[in-house]
Amino acid sequence: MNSLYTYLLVSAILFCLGLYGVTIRRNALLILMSIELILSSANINLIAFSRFGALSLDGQIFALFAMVITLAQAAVGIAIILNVYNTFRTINIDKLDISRNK
Amino acid sequence: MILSNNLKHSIFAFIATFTGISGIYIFLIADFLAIVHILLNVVAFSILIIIGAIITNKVSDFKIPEPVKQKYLYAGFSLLFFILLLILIFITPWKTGKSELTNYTIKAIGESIITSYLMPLEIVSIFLLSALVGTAYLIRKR
Repeated sequence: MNSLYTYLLVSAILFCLGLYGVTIRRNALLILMSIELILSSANINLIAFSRFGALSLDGQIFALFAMVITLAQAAVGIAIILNVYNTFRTINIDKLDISRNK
Repeated sequence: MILSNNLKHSIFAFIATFTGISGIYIFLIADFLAIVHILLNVVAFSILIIIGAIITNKVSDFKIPEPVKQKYLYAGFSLLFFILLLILIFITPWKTGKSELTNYTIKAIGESIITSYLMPLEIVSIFLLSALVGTAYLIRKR
């Protein structure tokens, strides 16, 4: 049960759920949350290989840096979403169209 | 978290999901990463998301727009991708070795960050500073 395949399976499930969320959602905040889910699944893979694979602890440090970059991306993404809300008064991504005829 | 039609329920499910993911990290002998994950994702990111939801919605209703029309098409696509990933996972001969991880990784992580991973640490700090400046530039008053 506690083998590499279990964690790879969990990570694959999380990745596909995040992919599905990115494609079907129309609220920008939920898309950001789904992207966060995808990046967490990648981190689970890194840490699982650092536990069961040949690389010890290097995978964990790489996952640490990946986590920092993920959070920077989330902060910039939320700033962009608030900016979009200031301009368009909505964050439904189907209604965001600069060149639309009013 | 993915399927709920209410933004409040989705945020609560997000917090529960990411607490579970940090539990997975604890199972993988990554205690420091589990703590960092709780601090960053479960606390900081969900606070950001909650503030964003409060600003961009009316407080009384957190209704979010319906999913796109081709919902089942995209579900099929991601299921197909999942099956592809499963095949890849189970046919690849992973090179598993004996890892010398001990029970507490905090000391080892701190030592290797300030010795052999010093350059990535500096790059990440410059990156964080530029992300901070960029965020402050994006939300300034015009």
